[in-house]
Amino acid sequence: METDHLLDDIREVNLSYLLLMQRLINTDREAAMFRLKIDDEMADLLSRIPVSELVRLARCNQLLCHFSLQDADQLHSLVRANSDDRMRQVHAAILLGSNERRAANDRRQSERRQGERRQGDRRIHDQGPPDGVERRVEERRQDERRGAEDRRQGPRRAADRAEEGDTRKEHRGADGRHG
Amino acid sequence: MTEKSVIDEGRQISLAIEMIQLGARLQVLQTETGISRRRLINLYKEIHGESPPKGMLPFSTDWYVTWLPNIHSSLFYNVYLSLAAHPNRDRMQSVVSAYRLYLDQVPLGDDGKPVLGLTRAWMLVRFFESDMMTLSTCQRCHGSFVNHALSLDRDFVCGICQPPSRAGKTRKKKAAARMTH
Repeated sequence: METDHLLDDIREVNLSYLLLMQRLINTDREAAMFRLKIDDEMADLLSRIPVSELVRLARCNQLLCHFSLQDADQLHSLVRANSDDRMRQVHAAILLGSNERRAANDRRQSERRQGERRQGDRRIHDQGPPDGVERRVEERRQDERRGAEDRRQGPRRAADRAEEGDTRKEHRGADGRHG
Repeated sequence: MTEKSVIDEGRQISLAIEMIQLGARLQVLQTETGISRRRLINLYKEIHGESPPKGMLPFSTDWYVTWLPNIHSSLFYNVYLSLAAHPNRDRMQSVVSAYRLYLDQVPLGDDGKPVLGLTRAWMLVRFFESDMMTLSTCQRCHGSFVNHALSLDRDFVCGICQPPSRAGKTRKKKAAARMTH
């Protein structure tokens, strides 16, 4: 009995979630894409699905929506916080915003590097403005590092240098940033 | 610049109107639209009924790392980044929509104005574009927060997880609390 009720509730939530999605997309597409954390394709498709299909889609024993907080740390820092309600609301908004962006970044990165071995520090990925800028900064940093290395090494035999060059190339390949 | 498209001009004017309504200063409009200064001043006067404020724009990056402004600008910038990530979208349009979404989520300040104005939001985007600011990840809540570029942020903890001791306790609020009791 109890589980039947619960399953009914889940289906109900599914349906209202789908309907809400559609309504949001049809009123303000851009804002909806941000609020629902979905991309262009998904938004297009969702706005076109007829209600009868949505009902069929909602008839599922698992929830279609997904919990947006990444881990227990985040939940903890929102629940435990002794700040007032307004601050908590803003905090939740910031966390959701940055989670979404990080997820989108990861998705893009993995698309870009499909098939390549993925190494290197994660720190770079979830910081700074998107696309060009961070790549530029990273390249500049690498150049500086390389320059400093060269300066430190001082004059050396040409053979040594060539060898070093080879290993460095390997290193860069392993890094996978210049793919 | 010899050929002017009327449609393009119309689009720019409507963007300018939207921005003025949201409280953009004249310098923002001059940088972001191709409309002449004289027409912009006329627009401003028509919308607000007064001359645009004079003087320089707020140019300090320090404002963004103080407690409350930091929280608000982090919220705005997170929204902006997720909007700007979509391809083929106009940059200024993203700023404006991100700002609207930001306004939806925050309560107004004590003086009835949002903590982060559109002009400041735009300056923040420009600071990021010129690598003067960066996003640091809070070690407790894993949220991204606005910070000075090249700052040491390995142990960064945000202003909400660890508020400074007297944050948000202004004299005005105390007085208001006393009045209600």
